[in-house]
Amino acid sequence: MDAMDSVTRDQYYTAWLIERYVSAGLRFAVIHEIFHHVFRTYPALQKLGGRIFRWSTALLMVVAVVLVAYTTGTNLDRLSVVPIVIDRAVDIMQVGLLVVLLLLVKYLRLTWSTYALPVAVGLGLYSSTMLVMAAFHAHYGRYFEPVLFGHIEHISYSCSNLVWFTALLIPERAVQPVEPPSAEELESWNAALQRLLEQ
Amino acid sequence: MIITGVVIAAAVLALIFFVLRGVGAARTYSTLQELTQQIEPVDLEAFRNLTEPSEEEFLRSALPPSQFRAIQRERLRAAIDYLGGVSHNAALLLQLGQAARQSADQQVAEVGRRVTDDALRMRMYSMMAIGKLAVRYVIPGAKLQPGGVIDRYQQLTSAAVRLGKIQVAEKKAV
Repeated sequence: MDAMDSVTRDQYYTAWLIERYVSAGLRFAVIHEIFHHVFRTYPALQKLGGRIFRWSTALLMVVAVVLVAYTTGTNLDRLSVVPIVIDRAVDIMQVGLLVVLLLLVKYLRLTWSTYALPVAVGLGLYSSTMLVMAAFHAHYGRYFEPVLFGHIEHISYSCSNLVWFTALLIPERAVQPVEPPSAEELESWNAALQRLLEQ
Repeated sequence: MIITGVVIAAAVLALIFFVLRGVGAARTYSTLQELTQQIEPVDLEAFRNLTEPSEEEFLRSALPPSQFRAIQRERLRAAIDYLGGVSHNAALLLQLGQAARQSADQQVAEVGRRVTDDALRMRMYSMMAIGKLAVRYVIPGAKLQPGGVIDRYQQLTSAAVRLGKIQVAEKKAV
């Protein structure tokens, strides 16, 4: 569209904004799907996963709005404000959600499927890079270092793609048959647990 | 500029976290013996005393306010340590339960699922209880009790013992 003479500046701007919103919406959908995927094999956490996603989103939205409201930019024009504000709010929420998810999985020692972790990590790499750039844009204006930031965005997106495609090439982990422990081992395990129970 | 700096710093930290999480792997214990050695003893009776509201009321009425606050902070720190032990043991039982879930034996797999669920609930519960006690550590007047931890912990360890017993019986039968 950029090279087409028939497309006006306003039409290009509208199409560009729509592309940003659709992209942000799809990224939220992917994060929601990862949450669902990670928690679905644990009945105890199925409801909790959805609840954590909703509450984290709401909380991060408040944080994003507060941060955006209190930031004073020096070089913002009317046309730049809307996408910058939305970009930054969306990136804060997405990075926050992915950090919450990864910390929760680490704390609860849940097991990842072969693809879920790389998808989350790749998206996290891209979103956090975009957040750094959105913060610079908010302060110095949309056209701050456009060439450098364009390169950084491309490199970040390529790295995320690399993570995702590498994960696709790795064969799905087969369920490892668990080496059955010996009766003596189980007896000592039971004794240790019994001691805990009797304390 | 300060808020922009904070956002950039947070985003860079998140970026580092994603990179580290991408290349790192969680520590797992391979043998049951290794798991058994990692079990931390937790004195549930002492924990019960530390979090008992009547004990707290007694100390509050018997001691001058400044001394009460100092002692209460010590008690809360000890209670948080105990909860850390409970949470650590729940993580070990979670690993045991996850392994048992994959068993070809239906009974073992079923109890394994139960142990996994109980252990996950225990991990969540102990995290919330530590949060409550941490709030009370900062605000000594806050009325937050980590109730129910002991019962849930005993329920979890009982389920794990049951799992062990089933497996021992099967081993002996073989």
